[in-house]
Amino acid sequence: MIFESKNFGTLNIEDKNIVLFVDGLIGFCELKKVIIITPQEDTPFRWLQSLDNPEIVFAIINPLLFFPDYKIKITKADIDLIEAKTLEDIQIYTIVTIPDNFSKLTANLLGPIIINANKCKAKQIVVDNSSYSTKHLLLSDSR
Amino acid sequence: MLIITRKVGEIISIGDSIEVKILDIKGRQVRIGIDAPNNVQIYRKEIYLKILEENKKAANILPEHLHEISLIWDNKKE
Repeated sequence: MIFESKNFGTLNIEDKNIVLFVDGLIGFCELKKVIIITPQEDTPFRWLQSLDNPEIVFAIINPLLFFPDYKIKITKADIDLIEAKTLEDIQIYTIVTIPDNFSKLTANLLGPIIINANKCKAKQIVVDNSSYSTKHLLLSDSR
Repeated sequence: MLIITRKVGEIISIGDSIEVKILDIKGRQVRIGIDAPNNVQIYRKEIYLKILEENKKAANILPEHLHEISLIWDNKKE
């Protein structure tokens, strides 16, 4: 399909690359179809572009690149929902918030996204672990 | 809102498949046990709302942001 995105211009998208958020993203239940865009630059960021609303795009990262100790519990129901057969089927991303001060990028570790790329199904899950927040600084000065 | 008074150990049934049991009351805290089918999502509401709020903030990326954060990454690597 041909898709006119706000940020990336005209995209020619193959059906096999369309990922379905079965329940929509939290707060965006009408947004179900997305694609994940890998930029050409060498960067850990990926862009999660909504196909239901051309204006909506999220920056996402593999949280383990920044928070190696990050651990979440995924329920059987969620594993079934994205039709994952093994843990290897599941990719984990977290959404990055870009504030006015770009150096204060934060990752939302409370609401990670789990994706089964084989089945193109995804879900944003709610982590029940009080040591995580929705705003973990991505780049601290000590890095 | 339906309001029901319950004692410790008592249960509320919601439909055929959901049960909410009052396990313990200590001061201002109540421990609740919930039995529900796998596909029923149960959240602490304040956590859900935090994620919702953060999603809304994260959704409005401008084209220049995309470029800008890639640059930040490049700088940090060096």
